[in-house]
Amino acid sequence: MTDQQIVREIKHGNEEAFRELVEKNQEMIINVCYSFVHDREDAMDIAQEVFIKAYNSIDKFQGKSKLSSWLYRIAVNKSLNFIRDHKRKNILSSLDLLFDNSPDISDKIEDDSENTEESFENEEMKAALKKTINELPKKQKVALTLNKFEELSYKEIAEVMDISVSETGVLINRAKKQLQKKLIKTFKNQ
Amino acid sequence: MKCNKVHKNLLFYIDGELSSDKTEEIYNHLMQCNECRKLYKKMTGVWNSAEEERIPYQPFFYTRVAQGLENNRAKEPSVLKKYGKIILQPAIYFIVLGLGIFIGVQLGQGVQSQQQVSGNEISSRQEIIEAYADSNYINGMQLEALEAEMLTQEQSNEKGENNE
Repeated sequence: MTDQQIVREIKHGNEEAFRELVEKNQEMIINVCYSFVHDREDAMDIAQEVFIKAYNSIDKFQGKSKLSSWLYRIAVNKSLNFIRDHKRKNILSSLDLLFDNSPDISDKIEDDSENTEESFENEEMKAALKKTINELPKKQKVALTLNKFEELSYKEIAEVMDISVSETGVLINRAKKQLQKKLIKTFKNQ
Repeated sequence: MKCNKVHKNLLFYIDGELSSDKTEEIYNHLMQCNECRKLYKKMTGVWNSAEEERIPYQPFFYTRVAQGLENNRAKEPSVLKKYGKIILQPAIYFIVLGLGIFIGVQLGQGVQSQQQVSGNEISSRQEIIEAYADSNYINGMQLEALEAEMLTQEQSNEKGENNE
């Protein structure tokens, strides 16, 4: 079935067409969410929400953009909302830790010390990259993530973000420059 | 090329987005500068590490989505609940308001008719009293015209004396 046929069939309540939509796009959507939230289970949960949202609002899809772009857009919005809500939770849990002397933290430090130096450094580097990407301005973060991790073209990113191709280029360029600056600073401090 | 300039272009160099001249310049610098080469290795490691992690196709993912959809449907409020507030609430307000007005009007009409009844009663009572008084000569003065005239003359004389 083509994308147009899938959409038409889902609008008529055909669940088989919906299954095809999910099977066809699940890997792409799960990985988009993963590239934003960096957690496997969270990414799966968000991807599930993306498809449920797509099913419930399929009537709003007018076919002006590609179906995959529409799904990407939902996935990006859901992921960004998740990060926003997660930040709030993190702030609250860090406040909890301030007033709570639970032994979990010391246990964690002991566990970490068992790791080899090399894997620790590797994990540290990945964490630094994730942290730096998350600190980028929202539009730059979306454009860079879709370009770097999802390997979308500038044109595809422009469609997902509803901006021009040249604007996409500018956003990615700025994001890379900022990222480069911050990473070099981190490496020099190590 | 200076180290600073290399640092500013390192990520673009790794992604192969620089012109051939600039690429060659950076390559030559990296061959000579130990510090920049270390930085380049670290940067490449970090930059490529993110690409390695990808979640493969999940065979039971659709079941999960279908289950989620089912749960969502179960959570959806019934039509009555959904439209209750929008339609039912104003309808109830109107009915109560209408009922109030109706009861008010009915009560008002009741008071009016009672007033009419009591008015009639009063007038009939006066008639009875007057008839009774007539029959028993209580208001006999009205009948004795001469006495009444004398009485009024007497009263006017008294007034004249007082004036003087």
